[in-house]
Amino acid sequence: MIRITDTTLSCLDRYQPEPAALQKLLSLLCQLPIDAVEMSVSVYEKLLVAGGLPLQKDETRQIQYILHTTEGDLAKYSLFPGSFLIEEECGEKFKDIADIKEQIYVSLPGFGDFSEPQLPDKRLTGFGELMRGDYALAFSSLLTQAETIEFCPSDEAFCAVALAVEWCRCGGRYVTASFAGIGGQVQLEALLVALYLEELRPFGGRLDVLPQLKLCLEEIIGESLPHKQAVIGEEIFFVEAGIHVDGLAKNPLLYEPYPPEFVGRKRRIIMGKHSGKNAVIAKLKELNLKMPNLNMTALVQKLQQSSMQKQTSLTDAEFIELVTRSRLVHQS
Amino acid sequence: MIHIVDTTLRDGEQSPGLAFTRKVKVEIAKLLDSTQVYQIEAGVPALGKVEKEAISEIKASCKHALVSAWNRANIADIAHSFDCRPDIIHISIPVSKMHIYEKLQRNEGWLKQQLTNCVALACDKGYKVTVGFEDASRADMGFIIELTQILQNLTVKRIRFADTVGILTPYKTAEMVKHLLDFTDINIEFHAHNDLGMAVANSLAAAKAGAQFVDTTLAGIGERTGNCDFARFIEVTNGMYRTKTTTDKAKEVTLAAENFFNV
Repeated sequence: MIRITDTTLSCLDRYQPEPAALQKLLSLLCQLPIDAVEMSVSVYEKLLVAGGLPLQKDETRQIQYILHTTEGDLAKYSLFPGSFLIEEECGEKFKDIADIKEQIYVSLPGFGDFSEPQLPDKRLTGFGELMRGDYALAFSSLLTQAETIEFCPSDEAFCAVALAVEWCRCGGRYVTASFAGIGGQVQLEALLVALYLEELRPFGGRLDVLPQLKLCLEEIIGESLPHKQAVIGEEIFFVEAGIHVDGLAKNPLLYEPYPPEFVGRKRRIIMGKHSGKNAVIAKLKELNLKMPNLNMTALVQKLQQSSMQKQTSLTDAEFIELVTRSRLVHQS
Repeated sequence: MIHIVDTTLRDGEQSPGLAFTRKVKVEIAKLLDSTQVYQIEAGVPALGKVEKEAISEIKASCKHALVSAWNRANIADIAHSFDCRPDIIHISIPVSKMHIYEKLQRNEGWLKQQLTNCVALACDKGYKVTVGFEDASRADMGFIIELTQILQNLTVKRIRFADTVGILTPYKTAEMVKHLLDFTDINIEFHAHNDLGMAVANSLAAAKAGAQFVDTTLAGIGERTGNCDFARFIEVTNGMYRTKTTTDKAKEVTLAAENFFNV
């Protein structure tokens, strides 16, 4: 069983998040099909101000908490309801495989009214450039070590999700990710969908909270995430090209890897340069408008011209006006 | 060597909300040409007069890149392409059962005949033809190999292997590319989409497995989550393959082009 540790709450210190925002973010994260949530000391202390860590109501799904701290502070946070992750010197042990940092997991004995923690021995962080080489060989070497390893690839070479998926395919059981890939890490939501589609990991949570999570994170970091970011971008289910609109009307899976509702989104038809006759018909249906006897050829031409003049697509209001004017001209 | 086929002006422009004028298309093409990409997929002639004029002007403006026009597999589309006289005519055909039966509402027999007719039409006019296998990542490899062998007999030298809905992983990409190369000696052009955040990684995997052409778009624009990001692919493959495009140049051109993308 692949276990995913979410590291979002270890990547937010620089944004100085408010306790209430962190509490909301954590409660949304806990609805995702993940196994553990890691947090920084600063985040933990703010969550205590906000009322503590949320109670785990679902006994069939216990999310472990992990505190990222130092060896010296273990005693200070002995009441933390979970396990600890501390930095350790890697030495030369893995230098032939990749540029890596090492961290170890520590579980204080006798603590916790939750199911037995299934912690790996170590977390290895780095591996940015590994996709350029023989990553399968590197994974094989890591997976035959005596210690169990949690894989934490960085995204400086834009391949972190792919490395994480390949790690799981090669037999790795422990992997980390952060929401929206914050902190330059594996993009959690992309990893969850990929492992589900690859049938590498059974599903046991919700992804339709992703839009709320996105808004929550954007509030904390003070900026919008890209509109077309994989899985969570707000425009990723917008469709304009006539061939695609036509295909989606026949079977959405023709041009979508999974239904938008799976990740809390809805499809939206956009009217623009590439919209053809069938796209116009589909858009009218989406808007619940009945406009019989339209001169489709002329309308599509006008649509193309208008969008090129504007150098972007038409808004719904602009489209309705165009169709109405076109119908009036046709009728007269 | 890896050859970049940039499709900013075709697949990239299909990104909802983008509508390039002729002037903007030519400017973007010149930016791409300055990076010395191998090929620029300049547009879809079947869209009409303005698009055809843009493609013709792009062809006249490019000093380095080959210029190609995209077509559905029908005679009317290809006739429009003849009006622009591109260097390459690209013919796209869906190859998965879902696309053939549910979208086209046809069968494999019809598809093979239609493809043969369209390719023959373009080749007989003296054009270099490449063929795009739409939804190849969800198609039967046996059928893809069969089609490829038909195309090789028609003197087509390159096929585009499209992961149309972006569901491939690096391992599956490599396996499919290697499988096709085990049975044919076609040149493979890999076309990724970024639905699972793996467009760059899959394109790299395809290149490592033997694909010699990779499709990109500037800033990764395209349908849904977009295509393989041009500058990122150049950066991540730095030093691995001979290429005339540098990372700095790719980033500079991306920045200049982003003014046109409503980002």
